[in-house]
Amino acid sequence: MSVRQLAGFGLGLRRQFARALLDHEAPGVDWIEITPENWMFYGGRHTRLIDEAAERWPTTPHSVSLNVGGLEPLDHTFLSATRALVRRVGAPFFSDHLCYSSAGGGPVHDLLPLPFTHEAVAHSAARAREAQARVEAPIVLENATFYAHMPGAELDEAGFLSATLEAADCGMLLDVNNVYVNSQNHGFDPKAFIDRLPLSRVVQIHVAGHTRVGDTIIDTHIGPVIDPVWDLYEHLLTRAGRLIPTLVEWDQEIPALPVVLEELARARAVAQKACVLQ
Amino acid sequence: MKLAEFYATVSPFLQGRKDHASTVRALWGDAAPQPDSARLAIYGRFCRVHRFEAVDSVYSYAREAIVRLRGEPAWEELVEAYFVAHPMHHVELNENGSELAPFLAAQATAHQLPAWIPGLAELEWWEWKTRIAPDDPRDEDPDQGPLRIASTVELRPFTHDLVEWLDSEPRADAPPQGQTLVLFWRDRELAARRESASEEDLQVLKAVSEGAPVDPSGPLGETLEDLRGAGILLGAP
Repeated sequence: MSVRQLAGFGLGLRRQFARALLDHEAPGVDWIEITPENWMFYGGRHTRLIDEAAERWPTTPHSVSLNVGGLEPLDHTFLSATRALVRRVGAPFFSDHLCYSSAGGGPVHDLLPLPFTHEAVAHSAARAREAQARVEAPIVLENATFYAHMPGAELDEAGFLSATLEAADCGMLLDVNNVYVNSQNHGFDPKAFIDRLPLSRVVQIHVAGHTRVGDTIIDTHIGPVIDPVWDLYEHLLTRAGRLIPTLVEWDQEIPALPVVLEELARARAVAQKACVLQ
Repeated sequence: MKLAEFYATVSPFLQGRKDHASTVRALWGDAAPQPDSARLAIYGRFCRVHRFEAVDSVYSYAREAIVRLRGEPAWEELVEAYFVAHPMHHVELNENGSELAPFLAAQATAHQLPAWIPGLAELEWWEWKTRIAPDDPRDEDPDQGPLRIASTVELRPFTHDLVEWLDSEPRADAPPQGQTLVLFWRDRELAARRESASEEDLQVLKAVSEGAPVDPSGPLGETLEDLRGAGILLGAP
């Protein structure tokens, strides 16, 4: 399939509403994001759904298993399958998180925080470039949530992100909810954080809900996006001065499709308020 | 701390093989910062949750049976021991549970598990593998071409009649003992199916696999049509 660029507002394809999404008009959905680990190793109905979605909308894979900061060699099976998926759906790029996701030689299926060190910058950037070459498509890295600083930090999070993106010379997926969650958990100004990022590199945005557990906010992707995150989203668009393709993530306790579509409409309204949407 | 040392220190904790307190000391020394060192525990919990997610969904009936017979702690102990014996190796989460059935068989005596539980786990594994089996170009145009067995068909032996037991309502405490052969396949609507194979099913499948003719108007004609309708056989007789 030929490459189709993302524009406007997107939705993550979740099994809970995939059929409903494909069977109806789905107003306001401009593009689709898929979690490749949940689709690309399966045949049968899974493949049919992906193909249907990609026929209808520009589609991009957003994975959780690249392990760009990890020590083990990049996973050949994963990269080969990602390359095939990128070609199958005509994705303009593939994205994953600036983190590590393996331990002791195998995946642990979580997004784990790297030490904010110059060594980790160089290591992650080199592996991002390697992944990009092996998938044969541009790589885009997302800022992840982290609940604990790892020892030995030489940079703060904004400095670590910026340095890695520059060293890898790659695009950024800026998750506004993650900025908010990290700012609350670690006590910094989220707008000042965004102002320090290389916004010209941002090619996609995520917004999502989260859950407060005791004194910590957990990035659960549950529930509607809260007003402070919408406010941060508006700030980001205003600073960027352009509409950046934006995805609403709702990955647990998933409601009926119309509820998720209302969140997309909210994103559109905020973009209009930020004067980046004609 | 260099990255290699960092990973060597934190990995056993994430895999559930080292406790939080000693990992904190190894990472930060005696003056561990708060709340970072306390919040490291969040990642230990998350990784543990993922180990259970890797098996809880595919093996829901085996899990239910073990919890009913031996209690929740027994299931948790088995799962943690499983991932020590078979560390996560695949980015597709469920694939990491591929060896659970033989693992349960090896642990059955030590954990006082009935003999049918490893078989139940194996049946659930094959249901899952059938659901996600790769697409085969030979399965396209199911009514065209020579009579053939669909690529997703799998025939597996079991020592208990698990299929009838699972499908019965109410379900007895344990499945009846008895050698059965279970057919797994994906039907024409791509739904995963499983059914005990009858003697007639086996005769037709044997004939088709050997390229022998099956007379549609003969004694096996009805079985032939049933297998074609179900999507176990494709093509024309």
